[in-house]
Formats: sequence, C-alpha cells, structure tokens
Amino acid sequence: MIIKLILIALLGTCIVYVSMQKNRPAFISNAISLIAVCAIVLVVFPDLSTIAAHAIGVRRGADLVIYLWIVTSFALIINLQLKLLNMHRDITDLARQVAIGSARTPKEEAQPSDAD
Amino acid sequence: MLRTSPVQCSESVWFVIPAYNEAQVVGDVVRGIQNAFHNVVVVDDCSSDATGDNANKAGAHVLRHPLNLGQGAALQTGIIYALGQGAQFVVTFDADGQHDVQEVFKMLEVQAETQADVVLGSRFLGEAKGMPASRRIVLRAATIFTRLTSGLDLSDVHNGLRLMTRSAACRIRLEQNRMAHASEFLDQLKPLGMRVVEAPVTISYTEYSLAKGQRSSASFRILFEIIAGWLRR
Repeated sequence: MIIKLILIALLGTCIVYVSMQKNRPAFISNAISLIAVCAIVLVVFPDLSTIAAHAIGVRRGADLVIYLWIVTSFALIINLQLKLLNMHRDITDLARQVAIGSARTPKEEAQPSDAD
Repeated sequence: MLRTSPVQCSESVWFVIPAYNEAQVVGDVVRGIQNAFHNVVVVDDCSSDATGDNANKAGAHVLRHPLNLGQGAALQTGIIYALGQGAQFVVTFDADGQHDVQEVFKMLEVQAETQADVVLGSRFLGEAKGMPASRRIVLRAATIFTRLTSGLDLSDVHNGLRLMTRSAACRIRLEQNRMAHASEFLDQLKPLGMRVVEAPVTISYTEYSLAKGQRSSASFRILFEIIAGWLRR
C-alpha cells in the first residue's frame, strides 16, 4: 500500500511538472501526462494490466508493463539523441560565428621606427 | 602571378587550411603557398599549441574555433570566410605538409580547360610517396564504397586537395564535423549537378604526417559517422 502511495505521488508530480513546462510542444506534454495517468490507473487497479495483457496475447500484466516501458524508453532515447544532434549543430554554428567574427588578418611587416 | 585564365588570378584563389596542433609545420605550409598565391585562411580548430600564431605570422588569415569541432567543421568555416572575402576559387589544403602547392597550378589548368565545378586531386592518378600498404588498401575499399553511395567513379575519395569554383563552394554544405565530411562532400556533388574531374597530384607522406594523421582503423569510425548522418536525414 505504501509503495502505491509513493508511485502515485511521483507520477502526480510528473504530471504537474510537465503541465508547467511552456517551452515544450503541447502534444509531448499531453502524451507524457497521458502515460503518467495510465500508470496511476495501473498502480491503483493492477489487475487491469493483466486483463490488457491477456487481450493482446501477453501472459502476465507485469510483462506487458515491461514491454511498454522498453518501447517508451527507446522512443525517449531516440528523441534525446535527435535533440543532442540539433544542439551540436547549433553549437557548431555558434562557434563558427565566433571564429569568423574574431578573424585575425595577416600581420603586416613591422615598419622600422624613425630615429629621434 | 598565376594567370591560367582571366578569372584565375592569384588574388581570386583562396586556400582554406583546417589545422589542429600543427604549429610545427603550418608556418612553412603557409609560406610555401604564399610564394605563388596571396590568400590563405587557416582555421585553428582550438589547438593547444601555437598553430594560430604561427600561421598568422606566416601571413595567413586565422580563424579560431572556441572548441574543437573537427576537420569538416573547420573546412566549412574556412570556406564561408573565403567566400565572404570574395574568393572566386577555393582550394582545400592540408596543414601537415603532405600537399604540394605546385599541384594547384595543374588543377587550375584542368579547371580552365574543362570548366569543371570541382577538381579533385588524386594520388592514384599521380603519386603517393611513402604511403603505407595498409593505407592503400583502406583507401581502395573507400573508393568502392564511395562509388556505391555517391555515384561518382573516382580513383581517390579521401584526398584533402580540392579546388572548387565559387558557385560550387556556395552550394556545398558540410555538416559532418569530423572525418566523414570527405564522403559527405562527394555525396553532394552529383545531386547538385556538378561537373567533377580529377587531376593527378603528389601526396608526400612524411614521418610527421604519418604520426599526425588518422590511423587506418579510424575508417570504422568514419563509416559510423556516415551512417549516423544518413539516419539524421
């Protein structure tokens, strides 16, 4: 029972945090919230996972949850990787602008100073 | 002063040299170029030695990346700079002394005769002095791979000595920061409808350049970068 309360509290916090993020596309926030809500439902009614698992040919509800977690994790990893690649591209563009903006032209030959 | 065609005066040709920790030789490379050509830009890819200072003292424009990005990124930075300075021809040239500036005259002649958009140096049409056998095998394999991916029938697909017209340099965009840029460069040529010819050049492998250059085993990492680039698209 305690573990259920902890899980519900963590998932609830996740929903609140995601809904407060304004710099994220709405469908991603909505998808994360939906997943968290589904997770809360499964925590409160764990037998539902078994019913859903049997409906699609999986033996145990816990197995279904694990499979869904693996798929979700892969999607998150790929999303993170794409974000990293985009960030790397932005860093490259920025570094390039800095380099060009601070270009050094060839040193001119030193002129002999006039004697006093 | 070089005058292979009215357009190809030495003032219109810009050399782009990506460099990383080449303080020992970059000054000589720049001075060697400036015996015949005027405009050299060295892109210092965040070297930890005096590469930038030595290149600048030798007479080059110097751009310095604030962090190490890779040879591909340095080339693209240098190309953008050269185009901004009004370059009509861009020559990519290695900083380690493997290339001979005299070959660029031949490449410019080839460009003037063929009106090619890109002239690629080929050590297998010319000469590769001191090339290790393992390097030769890897480069031959790379040639076969590039024929399949780019549709170009080239003899040397990993030569840093290239000549581009201004128009070609404006259209080519290198997004592979590290060594996979060489394949990325070739992959863009046919889709862009560019006229590409090869010219025989001499590559001189020295103890310094072999110690400094990438190992043949790096070809696996380059292949990974190429595949990652395809997936990104």
